[in-house]
Amino acid sequence: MSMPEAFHIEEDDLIQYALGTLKDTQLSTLTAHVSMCNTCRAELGRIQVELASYSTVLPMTELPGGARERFLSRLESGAVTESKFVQARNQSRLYILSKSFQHWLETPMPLRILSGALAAALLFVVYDDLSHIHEIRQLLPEIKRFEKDTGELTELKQFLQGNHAQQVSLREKPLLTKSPEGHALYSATSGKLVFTASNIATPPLGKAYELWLLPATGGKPIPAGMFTPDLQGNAAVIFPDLPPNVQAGGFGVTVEDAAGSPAPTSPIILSGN
Amino acid sequence: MDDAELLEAVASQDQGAMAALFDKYSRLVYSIALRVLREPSLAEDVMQEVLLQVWRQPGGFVSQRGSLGAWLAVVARNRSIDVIRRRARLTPLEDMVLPEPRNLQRAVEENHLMDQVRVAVNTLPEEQQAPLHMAYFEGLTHTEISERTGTPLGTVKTRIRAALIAVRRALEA
Repeated sequence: MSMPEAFHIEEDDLIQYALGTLKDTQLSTLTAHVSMCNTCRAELGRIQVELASYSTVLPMTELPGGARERFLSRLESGAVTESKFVQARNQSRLYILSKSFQHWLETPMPLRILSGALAAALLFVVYDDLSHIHEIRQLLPEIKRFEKDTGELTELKQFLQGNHAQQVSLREKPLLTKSPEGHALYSATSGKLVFTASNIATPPLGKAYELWLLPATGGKPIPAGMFTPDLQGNAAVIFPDLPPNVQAGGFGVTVEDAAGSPAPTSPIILSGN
Repeated sequence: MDDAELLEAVASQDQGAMAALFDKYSRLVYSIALRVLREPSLAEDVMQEVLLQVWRQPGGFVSQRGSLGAWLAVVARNRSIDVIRRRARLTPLEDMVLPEPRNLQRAVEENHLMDQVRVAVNTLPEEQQAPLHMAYFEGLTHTEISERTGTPLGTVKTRIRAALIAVRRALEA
């Protein structure tokens, strides 16, 4: 799905997008824009080709000795589906230690006594293992965050590619050159909304813009997310918390306290039906 | 056997085809990983992971990617940057916006074009090579490059852009 865009991302920002070196705040805004703008998507594709070409023509290095054999050995061993996390767990010295203890119980008494002298040394190993397990546990939030981000990107992609969503353009009246404008993509069924805006002025100190869903059946406007523009005046609201099955009669934007407001307290500066 | 045939064989778990794919692309993947990581053992780990990803999910690649070489180059670079930054939130290039397949095909597999790109890259002034290398292989932001080199941010952007324009001209020649 695509729609006309009033602005395009600067080439330097697209280069950083392709390199993956944008900050999170810029990343979400640019991702929303690129998803909907054919021009920027094509430009980004061209930059990706140039970067890939650059990396493939540089002089190559010979593989380390035995690399091919190690790879094929791993392939043949069938161990290719194990993640590094699982490997780390299986290779944990704590795991090995527990196996060793089982064998120790089956060992003849003299050898058991002899091996008992090594127990103190093993305690040190256990301590070391616990620190490794602690390190692995520290990675869990990062893994969960990655899974969450991947899920959100997939959900966004499916939503933007679907054809069950309303598209609404919000403009200032009367329409002026370089006037602020917004685009809302909304599905009443799922309650999902993607909103992008351009040429938005910086709000007063302590204030931010608030997007409102205006129910088709009338009633109070429903808060649909806060946003502030970046230095280029661009902003986006992606998947705010909205109740499902609310038909939209339109959308509006007001200036509110930065913390947000449950109801509009200032005139609507952008609206669209 | 071209890439499509190789991938088809890999999809049927043909280890011989995977070995052939390894022979064709392992040096490229390893070289890129080594440029980023500067440590042969880590680069070999990344190379193995990237190629095993093809072994595990060859179908996903066939339906979405234009050129296996270019895709492997991008994935190798991103995986390697992930390793050195650990907390990196790289743009998931493989899953986001993709170049048109014919463009990638043209860019990476047509040898004469690549020769032109090679000449263009080799003749880039050092002042353009260095920031592009730092951005691509070290994962530095433009601001970080500016701080590290003492070059104004605007100049860093201009030089990286100029380097890519040189690559573009070679591809379009």
